[in-house]
Amino acid sequence: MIRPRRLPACIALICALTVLPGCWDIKDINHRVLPIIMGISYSKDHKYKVSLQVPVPTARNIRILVVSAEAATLSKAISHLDMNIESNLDLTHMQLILFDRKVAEEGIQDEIAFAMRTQEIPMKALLAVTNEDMESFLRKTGNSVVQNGSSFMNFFNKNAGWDPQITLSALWQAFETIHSETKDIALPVIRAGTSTMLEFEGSALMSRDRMVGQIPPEQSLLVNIANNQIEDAVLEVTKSSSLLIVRNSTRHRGSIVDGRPVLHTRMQLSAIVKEKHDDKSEDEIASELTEQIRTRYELLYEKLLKAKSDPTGAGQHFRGLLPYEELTSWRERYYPRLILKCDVSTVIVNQGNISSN
Amino acid sequence: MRANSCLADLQQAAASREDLKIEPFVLRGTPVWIAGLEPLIQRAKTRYELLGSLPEISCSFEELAARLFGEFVHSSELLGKLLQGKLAVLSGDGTRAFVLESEPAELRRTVDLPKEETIVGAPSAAFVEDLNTNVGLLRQTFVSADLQVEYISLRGSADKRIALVYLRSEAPPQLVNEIRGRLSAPSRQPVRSDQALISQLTGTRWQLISPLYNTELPEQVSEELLRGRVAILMDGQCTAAITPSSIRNFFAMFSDKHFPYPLMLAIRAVRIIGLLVALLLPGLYVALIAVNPETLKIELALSLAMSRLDVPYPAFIEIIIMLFIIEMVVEASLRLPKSIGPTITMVGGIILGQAVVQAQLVSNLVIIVLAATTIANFTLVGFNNALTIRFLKYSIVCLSAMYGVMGLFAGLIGFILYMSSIRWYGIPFMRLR
Amino acid sequence: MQRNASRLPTYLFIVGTHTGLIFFLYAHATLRTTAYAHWQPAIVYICIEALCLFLLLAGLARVPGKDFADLFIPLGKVVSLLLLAPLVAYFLLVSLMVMRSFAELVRIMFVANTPMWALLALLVLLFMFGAFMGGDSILRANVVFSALFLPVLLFALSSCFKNADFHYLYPLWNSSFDFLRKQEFYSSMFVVSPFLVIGMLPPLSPLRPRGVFLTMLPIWALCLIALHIPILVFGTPAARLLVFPFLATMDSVSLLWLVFDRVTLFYAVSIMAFVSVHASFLLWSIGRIVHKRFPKCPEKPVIAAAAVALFVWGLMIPGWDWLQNMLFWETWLRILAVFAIPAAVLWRGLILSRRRAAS
Repeated sequence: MIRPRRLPACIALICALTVLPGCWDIKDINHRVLPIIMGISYSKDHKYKVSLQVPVPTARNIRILVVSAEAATLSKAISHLDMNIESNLDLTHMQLILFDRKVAEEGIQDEIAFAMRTQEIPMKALLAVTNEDMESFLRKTGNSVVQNGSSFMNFFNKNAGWDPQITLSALWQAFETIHSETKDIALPVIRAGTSTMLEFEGSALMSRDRMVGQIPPEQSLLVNIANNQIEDAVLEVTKSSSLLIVRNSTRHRGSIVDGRPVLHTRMQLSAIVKEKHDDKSEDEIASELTEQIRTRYELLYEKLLKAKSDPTGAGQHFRGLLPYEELTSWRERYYPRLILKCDVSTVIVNQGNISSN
Repeated sequence: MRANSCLADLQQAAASREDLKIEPFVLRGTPVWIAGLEPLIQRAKTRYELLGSLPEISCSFEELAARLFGEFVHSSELLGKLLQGKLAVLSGDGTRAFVLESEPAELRRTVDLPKEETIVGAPSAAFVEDLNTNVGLLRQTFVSADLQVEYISLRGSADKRIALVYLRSEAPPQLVNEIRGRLSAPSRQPVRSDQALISQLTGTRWQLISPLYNTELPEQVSEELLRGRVAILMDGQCTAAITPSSIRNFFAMFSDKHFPYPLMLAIRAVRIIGLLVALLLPGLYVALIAVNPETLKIELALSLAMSRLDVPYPAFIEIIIMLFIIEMVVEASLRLPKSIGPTITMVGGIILGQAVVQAQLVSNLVIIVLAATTIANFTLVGFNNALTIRFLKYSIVCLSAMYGVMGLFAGLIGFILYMSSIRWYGIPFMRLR
Repeated sequence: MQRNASRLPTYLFIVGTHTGLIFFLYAHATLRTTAYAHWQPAIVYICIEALCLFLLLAGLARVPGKDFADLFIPLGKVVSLLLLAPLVAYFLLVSLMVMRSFAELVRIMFVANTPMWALLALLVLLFMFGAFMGGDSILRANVVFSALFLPVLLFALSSCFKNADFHYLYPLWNSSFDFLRKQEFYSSMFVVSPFLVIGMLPPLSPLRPRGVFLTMLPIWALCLIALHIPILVFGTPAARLLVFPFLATMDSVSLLWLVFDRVTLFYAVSIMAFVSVHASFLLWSIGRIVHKRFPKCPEKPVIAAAAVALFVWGLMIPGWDWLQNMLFWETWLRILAVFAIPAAVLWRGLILSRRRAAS
């Protein structure tokens, strides 16, 4: 016989049974669909067209599915897709958000705001721009994933196949620079490769949230060098030799002279000689590389200043020098008048196993 | 009436107890009656010793009692003394009686290796069922005048004899008084088991975590005594119950001290990690597969989805079914006779491991999770402690099914809060000393 | 046991109650006070807390072993009610805000479909359970939580520096001090209030003012770091737009070698441990104060009633904006609790110690 003082405990236990149907968030992983690439482009009537590349696990391997939907807003398009796919759409494993060039040129602030607001899409998701048709890009890369088994993320993985020329930009960085007064990013421009999965075409220069230009891969490399993003070695070909840059460090310093911002950039490169065509001395090889890098950097900056895009973060070095109210108009008033003083120094570490051809 | 009372009482008692033997005897010229419980005494040897220890002269009854170191008892106590295995010598007319120690029958097990606790490289003589032997083992292990032994006499006839062992210099006097008082209090049920002890010491049977820590090893008891604990030995139990227990007993053993200090810390760290794994791993599985798969890496998520393709049950049901099966396997293997044991283990392993995955009743990750959980469970010190964790993880699995990783940690937080609130006789459970 | 070691649970408890707030609400609360140079409002908050803490500790040190209730009840029925009722109300409000904010965090950050009542039920039951266990158990449990979860959070903190751009610290000086004129500054002052739990500690464990202040130094350093990390990673304009900037910053870190992918979830539940320590202790304090003032009311039903009130009130709040408005409306209560109560404690402490010296 249950004693009276046990009664509250019994009632509590029975009440606990009422929460048994309360599994609101349970959805097994095999009942979810996890897209890894999302492509945003415009449809014919200028509505949003969202395409998703979805790996669908089957009994033996993974099959790639490409689905698209059009709607006036992004969330409507995604809910269309959710409706039509048999499992629940789960955006939490998104790895890449791809923008069509036209979308990037019109400004991606709303799209980035959508991605940041929903919080399903991870903030580490990478961004890229493509000139190709979105669905065919997703299908072609999807075929490579199924055939070669290589996850395309290796392309962007610094520990795997990433190349120093490829710019890496994450969603949170885009969010940061859209609202930042003094910084921009460069998004990689990619297309589906003919013999490889992806080909890197260069970087898209963004000014706040709009794409204002494109630079080739060699200049992307310089942007990465200026941002100290390079951890690997980079091969540079000069007139007389091929050099492997093994270490680089770049330091910037800003100053204001006559109301114009002056950026002093100091690049220190350490290189190893890989191939030599004539018998120049180390100093001559070093000065060749120095000259080449400096000229290219200055050319890059001319382009950047004209486009009013600041992917090397020049503005950051003037934050302490200008009052806050002036900083908000950095891109329009000060940046186009920036004077670059670039100083490159190269050190040849060694010439390899043999000292001369 | 009083004249024949001892003998008459005994003969009346022997009427329904046929193992109580009363025989007439002549001891050095004095006619006596010798009485004893036959199963408890070696009669021939006793008689031999009796005759051998007496001089070759005739003695009166009183002289016999003096020479044999007999203790005169009243007739009402006589049966009780005989039940303890003593020999009674009654005078010829049956009015007086004294008892003396006899040669006990070989009913005691010899000191052997422990049955449940195996240790590496440390002394491992284990307790046996006899109380005197156990106290003797303790005295031998801890040679010190400080070691106090108190026998507690309980009221009921079904109650077992209990010895309270503690170090006078280490154990706080109020703790010893508290324990002694609680043990001596009237009990609702006969005090023959740990559950009854727990009920005596804490006032209720419904304790999730026991105030007693059972161990078979005298060395472990010595270490606990040095920390100011009290050991309770019960006649018939081959473990000593140390009270109050603490969280330290979950992962610290005396045998760790036979390794260098950094290694000892590493071993204890492994046990603590084992504790967390045993408690949290099944819940983590349910939380990650069913509620929060965003925490999995994409490759793992896809391969897990592939492995779960045709599995009919949700992850929560899978885990609960397999956990119950493992519980039954563990429970059965405790009781299996040695002849059937290996066969059943093999069958169980094959069924659980291979066939149930191939039949696609569960996914193969569940088996890995279960194996890891079960192994981690038994890294803990003390079978009782492992049992506690074994049964607590179910509530955590239920919480994770409802709330995901948040429920998992809420369960862990609640469990830690509960453990922090436990106090035995005012001494908190959650402490490291 | 050494004397210092026995105070470790107390110091860890102070760290724990502050940690729950720092990693969770501090960044957003301080970021919305001004446009740049956020260290200025942060330093002002620190100075306010230091001053009030000094008053409180000076009062408590003079009358060892007494908490708020012991100090104010001898003043008489009306005066003690006037002092204790706002304190109890403020404790209840802080618990409510912390609980509801955490539920919102789970809903926003982890896209839970779980209905609000279920989330709140879990949290309220956890807090109530902790409060039933008692203040000293909470202190003891907090030691375990600190050992388990503080390393995780500190690891999260240090991993955020990978993405930090220290140029965002500039411009350093905001000479206008415009934050003093904004209402957000005063409604965000709740970040200062965890120190009030120290007033309930004396019966549980002895306090040394110097030790407490030494414990507060790393906490204040942590406040500044937690405030600036979102600024360094996202830049001030973007960081001000985020609702939970610190957690968003932790989400942006990509560590390829970790076992799990989006570990922000684990950080958030680590924060939950400290949040539950704080809220359970507040609920227990409410029970203790009410019981001491009205000895006929036993503690546990009071705690249960407070928990039910929290649950119902939490359900009645429609959303995040309402929560921010509520913070503004309770500003006067906060000023009373944060300034007046410690001052009252010091005054009582002076009187009682003078009386004791005289006798």
